[in-house]
Amino acid sequence: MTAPAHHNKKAWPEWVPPSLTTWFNNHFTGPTQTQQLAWRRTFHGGNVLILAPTGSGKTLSAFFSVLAQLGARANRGKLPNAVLAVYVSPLRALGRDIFRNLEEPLEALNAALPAANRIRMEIRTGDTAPNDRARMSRRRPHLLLTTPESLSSLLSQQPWRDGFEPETVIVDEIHSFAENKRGSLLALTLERLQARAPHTLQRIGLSATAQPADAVAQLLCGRRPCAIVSDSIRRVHRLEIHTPLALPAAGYDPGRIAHAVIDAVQQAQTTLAFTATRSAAERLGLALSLLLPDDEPNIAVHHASIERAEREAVEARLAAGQMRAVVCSTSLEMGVDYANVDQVLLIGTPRGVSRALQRLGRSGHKIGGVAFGRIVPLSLPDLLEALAMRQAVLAGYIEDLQIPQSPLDVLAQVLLGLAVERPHKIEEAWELVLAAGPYLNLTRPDFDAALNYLAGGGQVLARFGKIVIEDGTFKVANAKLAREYFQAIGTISEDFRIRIVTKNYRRLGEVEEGFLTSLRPGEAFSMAGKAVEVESLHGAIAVVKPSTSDRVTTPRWMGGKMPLSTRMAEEELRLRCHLRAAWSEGGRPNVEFVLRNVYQATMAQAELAAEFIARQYHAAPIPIDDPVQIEFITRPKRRVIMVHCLAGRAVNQSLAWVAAHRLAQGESVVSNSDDHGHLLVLSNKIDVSEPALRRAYNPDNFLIDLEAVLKTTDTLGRRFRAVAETGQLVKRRGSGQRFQAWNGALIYQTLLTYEPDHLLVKETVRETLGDMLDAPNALRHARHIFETKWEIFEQPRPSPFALPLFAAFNREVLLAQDPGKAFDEFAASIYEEWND
Amino acid sequence: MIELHPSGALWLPEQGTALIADLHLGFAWAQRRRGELWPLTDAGAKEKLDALCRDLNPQTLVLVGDIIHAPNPSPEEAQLIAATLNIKPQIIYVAGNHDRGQNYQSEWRADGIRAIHGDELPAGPEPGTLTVVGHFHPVMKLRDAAQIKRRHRAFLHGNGLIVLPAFSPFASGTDMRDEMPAELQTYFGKNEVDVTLTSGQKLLPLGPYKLGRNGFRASRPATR
Repeated sequence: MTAPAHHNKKAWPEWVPPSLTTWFNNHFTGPTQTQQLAWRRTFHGGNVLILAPTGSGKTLSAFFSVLAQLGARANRGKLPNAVLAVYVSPLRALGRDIFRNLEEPLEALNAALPAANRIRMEIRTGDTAPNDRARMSRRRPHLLLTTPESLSSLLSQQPWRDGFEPETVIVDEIHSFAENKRGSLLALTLERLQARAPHTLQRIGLSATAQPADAVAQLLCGRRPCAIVSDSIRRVHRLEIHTPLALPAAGYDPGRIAHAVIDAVQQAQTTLAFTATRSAAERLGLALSLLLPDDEPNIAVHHASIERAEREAVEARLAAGQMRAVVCSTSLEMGVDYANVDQVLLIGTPRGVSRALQRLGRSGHKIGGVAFGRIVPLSLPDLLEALAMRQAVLAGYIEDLQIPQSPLDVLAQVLLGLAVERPHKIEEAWELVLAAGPYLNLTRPDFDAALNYLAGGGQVLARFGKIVIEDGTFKVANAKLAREYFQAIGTISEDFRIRIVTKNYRRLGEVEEGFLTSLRPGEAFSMAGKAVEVESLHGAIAVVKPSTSDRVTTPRWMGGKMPLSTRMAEEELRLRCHLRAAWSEGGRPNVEFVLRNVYQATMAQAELAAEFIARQYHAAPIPIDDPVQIEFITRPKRRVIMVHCLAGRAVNQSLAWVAAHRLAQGESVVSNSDDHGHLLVLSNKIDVSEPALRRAYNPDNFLIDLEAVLKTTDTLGRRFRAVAETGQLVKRRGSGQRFQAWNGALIYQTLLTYEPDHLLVKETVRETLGDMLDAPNALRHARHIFETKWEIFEQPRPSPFALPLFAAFNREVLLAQDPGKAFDEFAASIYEEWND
Repeated sequence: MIELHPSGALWLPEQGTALIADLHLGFAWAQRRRGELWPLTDAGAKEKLDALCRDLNPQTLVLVGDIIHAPNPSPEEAQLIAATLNIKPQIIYVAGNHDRGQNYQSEWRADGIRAIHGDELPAGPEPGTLTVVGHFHPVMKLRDAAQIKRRHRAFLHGNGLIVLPAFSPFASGTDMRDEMPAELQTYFGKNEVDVTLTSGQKLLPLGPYKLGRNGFRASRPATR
């Protein structure tokens, strides 16, 4: 992996300052393969996307040429008071980590420079203190470490009108931006940075393995050329599955497998455990502290709702090798190097291969180290998923990235940002936006609609806009709106938060308002892994004290479970087909044989899984894709229909909605869906004979019906709030604000009635059909169900494979179309309840 | 004789008088002035008002406060408001906390009925008088057949007081089951309160409720 030292001469050009090369040679035996490949490009100023696993010297592969250029420039003469290079990271923690890593080489460079001409490096994020901000706007850092949101804000600020002369921008963990609107904001912000650059801006992207790499390169550079450097050495992974003696039949409660986690924690020095949600992290963290009292001070919970100071303390102790176990959700998933972590636990199978690889990469950080991880399944179905996941990880299958196309709410936000920065010509802004990767296919009418919307236009007289358009130029309407813009940057919507503090005002973290109001007086909940109860509440601050209660609730935060990726669904289907064939050839012993020899299950795991499968066969065979399996449960008044379809939650939700819509004939239908299938609860009056049911999956008009049904649910109304906040229609709800008496769903209904073509309505529908419902894939699966043979089973109760669909009952209601009728139904239902 | 009307009005057929509360005209314009980009529409307030007039044909319409959402409407806004209130019945304007700078009367009385906005609620009932207020935008969040919580606008009637639902289509309302304002809790005390929901087209009497910890709970099942 490490090149012999004599290669060093060729690794970098002659002009690299000796202070830097000496530092490098003192610390490393030579450049890693990734570094050699990357430097060939970065030293020549071209755009580069570096795809490499952690532990391959990634940071220096991107930064070395930048440091060298800064040093060389300082040697040539006085550095300007300006930002010369920008580093953008998705996480603030990552910025701090990079800062620590760059301090040494920078000191080495600066030691050889006169005191008056040293290279300055600073971090600028939402957390930066006012005095630090003021200092930076006087004395510019030459190397600025920031986030897309903070950079976007800086570019509009008056004190930063000059002193921005960037030559290079480095975007870290760029794959993490690919599938969300932060990426759209990032791409547009990079174009704004280019507009300030004296020459063509050099763009360097760092990414975990991503597929297709071209899509990531396009996010970074738009249509400009971009070299892709990919480390051909695949990271060595060791992935075990760690199971307790027994597993629940369904559910996601990590408390139930805590003893297995403890067993694993005790076998390693430092464990990093990943859960699916913040709530699960809290619950597991609490369980570990209780069950491992000796290690309690060295066990911590880490997630985005925990106070920053607490998180930083945990990060520092983790870096210093003082922690026994840290339980986190996604907050430690990316980039930060913790060389001491020698075991990663995946609590519950992560629903995607890329995600699993990313998390596994958090261990074995020493260059050339082996990543060691264990999946701890949460239930019997999860054990099967874990076995399938391991096959996919070892084979290196990863998912294709889906990059949102031309999100209009982010466009509106950035156009307002341009207007706040200075008056812009419309044509100039159009060129700028069109150069950004996600907006290459933006249409002119959509662009004009966004400007018109910001100008206050609409069907009614244009007045009171945020911008003013005159003679082909637009600018912000007034100074107050310009100030308010800075509070509204970003694409992440958050619920109203209440800050949790101890009696002596130590901040522990935040919970959502809704959770706090649901607590009974004196009821305990866990925060940062400690059991606490509310002592008093002062507006947006809750003072808590330690609780001794034996029942402890876990806070819920918005942002639900990760959906199963298409890749994982395929892998799981392959496993099911395999096991079904094995059963029909030789029953249970044969299933155990396949699990042990093909899927490397331990004897205990094979037995657990085989027992679960044997139970399934009492009801029905293992559901696969051909024939399509359908279960019926008939109750006195209603019928439950479960369709097994291993296609992910988005596809199943779309299928459930369209089928319900086509079958309902004006009645309300309850539907539910998860990654492995969907179910419908229908009145017995509805015809569900096989031909009638089959017609409900007819691919003809499927997408038209999907959009129609979407508009009858309350999904769009719920999703509208985030779009309205990002798109600047309403102010972002911040801390200290009371709950809104006028809600988002109402504005949405109003728009739908009075301005159905509104920019943000269009964006909400686009986002929902594309991201949430995965419409193209749903159509493919509808055709498959429509055309394939079925096996139908009448059941007294759901089969074991159908049980999780009931356990995670996040039902959606298809409202009867006529509101009057819906009201009647509601009235009937409550009287029915009271008459029971 | 008093009747509840699905639009959210209280109807006195003998006097030919209808009372509505919380029109909040110019709401969307006020949001624009605050720097938000709300759709500039009344969301159907004018249509709702016209439909009410067609349906009941009242001689007098009492607006029980919060008629104009924000002070100092712009000329266009004032014009729209005037057009909205250009209706056949005679209009009586009772002042609400939002109607700053308007020269409205503080209460309206006729035949044992007194209408005040309700931002300053009396301590208890006035003997022989039914007090009608708005201000609180009452709704009830109830689960439907599919266990989904939905908000329904509500009339409250108890201890000599009627609270009208907000007439403005923009108002999403305050849930009387877990967010009931303290003044109302104090006023209703241990008295039973009749709750009637409205869909806009239909009324649904839910029967009597009593105060629980944060608001109402059903005191006995309703009968049809």
